[in-house]
Amino acid sequence: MFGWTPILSAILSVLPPRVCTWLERYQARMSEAAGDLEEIRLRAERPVQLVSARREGFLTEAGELVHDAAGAPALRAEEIVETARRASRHSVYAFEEELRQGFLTLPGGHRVGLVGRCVVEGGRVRTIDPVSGLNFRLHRQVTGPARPLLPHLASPFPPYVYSTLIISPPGAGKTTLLRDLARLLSDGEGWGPGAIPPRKIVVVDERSEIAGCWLGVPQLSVGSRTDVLDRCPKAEGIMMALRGMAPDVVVTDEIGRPEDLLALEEAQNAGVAVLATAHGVSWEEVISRPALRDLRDYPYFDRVVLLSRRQGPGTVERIFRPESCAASGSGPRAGRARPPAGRGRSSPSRPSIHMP
Amino acid sequence: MQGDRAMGEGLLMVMKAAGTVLVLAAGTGAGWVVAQGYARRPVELRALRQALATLRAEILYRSSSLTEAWAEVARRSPAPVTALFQEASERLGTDRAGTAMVAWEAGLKRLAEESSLFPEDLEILRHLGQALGASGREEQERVLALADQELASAEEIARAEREKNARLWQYLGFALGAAVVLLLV
Repeated sequence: MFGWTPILSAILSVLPPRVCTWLERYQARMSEAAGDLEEIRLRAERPVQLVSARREGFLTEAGELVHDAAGAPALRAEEIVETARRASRHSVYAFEEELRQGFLTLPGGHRVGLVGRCVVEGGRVRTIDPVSGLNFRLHRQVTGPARPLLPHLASPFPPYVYSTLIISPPGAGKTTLLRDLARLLSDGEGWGPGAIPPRKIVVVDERSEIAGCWLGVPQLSVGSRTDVLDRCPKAEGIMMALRGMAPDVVVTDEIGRPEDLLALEEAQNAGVAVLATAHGVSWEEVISRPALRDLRDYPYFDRVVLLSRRQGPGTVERIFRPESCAASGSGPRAGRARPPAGRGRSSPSRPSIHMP
Repeated sequence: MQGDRAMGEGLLMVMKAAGTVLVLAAGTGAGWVVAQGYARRPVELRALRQALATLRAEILYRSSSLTEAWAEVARRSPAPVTALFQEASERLGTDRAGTAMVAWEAGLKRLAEESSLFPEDLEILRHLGQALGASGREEQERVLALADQELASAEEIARAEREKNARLWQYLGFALGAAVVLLLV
């Protein structure tokens, strides 16, 4: 059967049977190269599109990839609807909120994006019916990319984790890096001299991207000391974590709303480090957004990691202390929530840290 | 010779008597079977309504997937209602290319074989099956309420028919048997 079955089994059990047959042929034809598949995109009345890091195209019955859509068989609209029903385990009522947000998560942490006719009620999307397009995004856990960064983002003695913002354009690996950081910090490196000790982590995973939860249980490795608030709004989730779970570190993704910064401030007041991500290509671009303008003046983060795709996803361009942090209290809001002593901000200002 | 004839007539009488008893018993039995159908139908309809109430709770309050919800209803329902949910749940859980409707149809087929329900009762369930799992909670609540309403009126009619028809069929069966005996004798 499939060489990639362990990764794809959850997806294969959902895809239309004839697409599974074509994929088997694709796998037999492509052998090892089939393993780097990133997306399987299904559209009504159009052929199946496969996307991987190195190639992209439409899937033929023989398992070949062609660039001309006319050269590959189209899927029927009802096949898309049935696939969406299978993805929701034939239980649309149980996934209403997810459908409203436009995605479902499958066992294994794979994510299925959905499009179609949106049923709007009171200005809000109630559901998508009928579904006319699906994007299966294959999750493969990449372990280890955060290891070289760890000495810059955490200190063994006193045991301390710097609040860090990871900035990157889409597809440059910021969620992968964040997940790996959570895993490394959660599992730690023991308690010996120079080792980063394990920390209690709470992941506030609004879009189920970090832990890939299925029925609330993480499907991706986020560490043994990690608790996950799945599909929880960030600001609310950070407050819930602070109130109930006594974390050392809160991990969340895609900050971008004013209430997110208020929650970050609460975390800071509670002495809890926050690891977060933001879309962008530079620090300047991020702090120019109206909702994130306060980042410029207030030391929410001790470290900023800038990623790009220059040498493939996950290329670390720079790690630096933001000016607000380096200035250590020169901003208009500096009087509030002074960083606790020994949390690193008292160290000499070092605007840029070079990667090993 | 005379003895042989007397013996033959005696045997014939015995056979006639036995035949009469058999035909009467068959007629009564057939009437009883039909009457039992009328008696069982309202009981089964009531059991179905209770099963749908359980299904409603599983869907609206526990948000169980349809496979799990059907399995739970099967576990809690008496025969023959359990057959519908058991078959549907197993079918949906194992047939990867199947739809909820196909699984439900398989369950309905088993229910039809094992129950005394009328085709119109099964039709209510068929309509329900077309909507189960295919929409949000509000819509699920609406279709379940509608099915319950329809089953309730079917149950009411079934009870009235039981009163009217059950005894009638028992008498009719016996009377039919007696008529056949009279015709043959």
